[in-house]
Amino acid sequence: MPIPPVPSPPALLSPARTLRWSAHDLVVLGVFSAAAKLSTLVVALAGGGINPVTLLLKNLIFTTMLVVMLYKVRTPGTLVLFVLVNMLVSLLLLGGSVTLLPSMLGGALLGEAAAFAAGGLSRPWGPVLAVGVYDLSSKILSLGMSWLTLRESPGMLVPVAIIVALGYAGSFMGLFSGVRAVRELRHAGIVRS
Amino acid sequence: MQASSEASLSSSAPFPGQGLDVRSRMTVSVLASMVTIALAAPEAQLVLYGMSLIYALTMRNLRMLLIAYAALLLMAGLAFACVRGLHALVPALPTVDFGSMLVPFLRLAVMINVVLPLAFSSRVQNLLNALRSLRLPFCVYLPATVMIRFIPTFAQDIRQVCDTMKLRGFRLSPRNCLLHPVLVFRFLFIPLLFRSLRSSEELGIAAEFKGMRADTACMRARPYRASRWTRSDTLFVLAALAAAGAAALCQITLSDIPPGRGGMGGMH
Repeated sequence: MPIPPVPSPPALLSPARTLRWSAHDLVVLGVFSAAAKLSTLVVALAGGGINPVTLLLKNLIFTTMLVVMLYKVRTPGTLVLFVLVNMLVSLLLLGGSVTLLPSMLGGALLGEAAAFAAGGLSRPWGPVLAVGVYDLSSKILSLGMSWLTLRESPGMLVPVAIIVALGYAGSFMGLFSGVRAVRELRHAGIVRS
Repeated sequence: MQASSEASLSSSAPFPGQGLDVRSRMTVSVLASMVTIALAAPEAQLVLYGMSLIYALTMRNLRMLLIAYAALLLMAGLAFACVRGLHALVPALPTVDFGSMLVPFLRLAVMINVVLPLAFSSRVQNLLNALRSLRLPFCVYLPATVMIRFIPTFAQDIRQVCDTMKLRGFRLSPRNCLLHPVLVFRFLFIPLLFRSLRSSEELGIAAEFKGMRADTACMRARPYRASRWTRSDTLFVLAALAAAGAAALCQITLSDIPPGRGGMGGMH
């Protein structure tokens, strides 16, 4: 008979939830958003923004963090919420552009839809699929937004596309490092589900 | 770090835009970003740029504005050189000239002008009050609050991790990022990941024990200093709308781009 997974202490403490996410889940989301934002910022500042290795590395770190976070909080809609919170705080505090929001949000919705179509985030590969689709679709949608901004000189889209492609390569590698990190964390008992 | 940043913020002199509510500044940012993308005529972009520059100058942080412009110029210059180089190698690829770069450059400059005052004029406490006043759902409010509150703590953690790396004879430099990316990943990312996991566990359990839920935490809590939408906020938004209208009028009257094609089909 298979042993059922041990629920986390907060889940035991609050059996009757009035929300889809518990306060514990929301705190995990906030902490990981801050960590992902700052670690990518530090790598970008330390390595120089246009350094291709830095571009790879910061996307790799962001995606790895996102995969670990989604394995911790496997409620549907978590990816959309993560993106929403990230963009809101970026706009208010870090000078993020409003124009990035539609592409990021669109990518997150597509990622959630892909995970839902594959059986939900609770499936073993659900979070990886959601993040993979999110990365790919948000990058493509960002390119569309770049075209809107640079449509008077379409030639300028070539370096933008190269930078986005490099970023996506980093994100793609981040999927594997994320899975590996989750495997290690599960082995250590930190990620339980 | 938090204390120092708070001190530095409080020591700065107040500027005209500081009394504005965050909601009005967010509205103007969204409006300016939408209008600058929709319009395509250089005259219209110049109007938007002039108005947004006046707004950005109220920030009274000329150094930050110049740094942002220098970064924008650097990126534009590199992209220009890259496109020219690629065109020299592969003539089939499209090229660019300075004239065609004016509108995209102005567009990005407008976005910088409206976003910088929003980002660099809000104190952390004001931001938290603003988040509350935006009547966001609890599921957005709590993570955003945790994120804003934890950014200084994580910045301190990253500094400690960097110091530890220095002790081990490894500096976080562009050269090391380029030559040893795996080491950078291991030395920087792994401690931060564990720190994040530990913090989230501790804070999450504390939040659960404090009974933080949508029907308790957000409703009962009252901000120390509630942010209010005043008449100056209304005037500010109206002025932004007038500037957007003037830019659209410029596009219709002064430019040869037809009004119907002024937006998405404005490639010329």
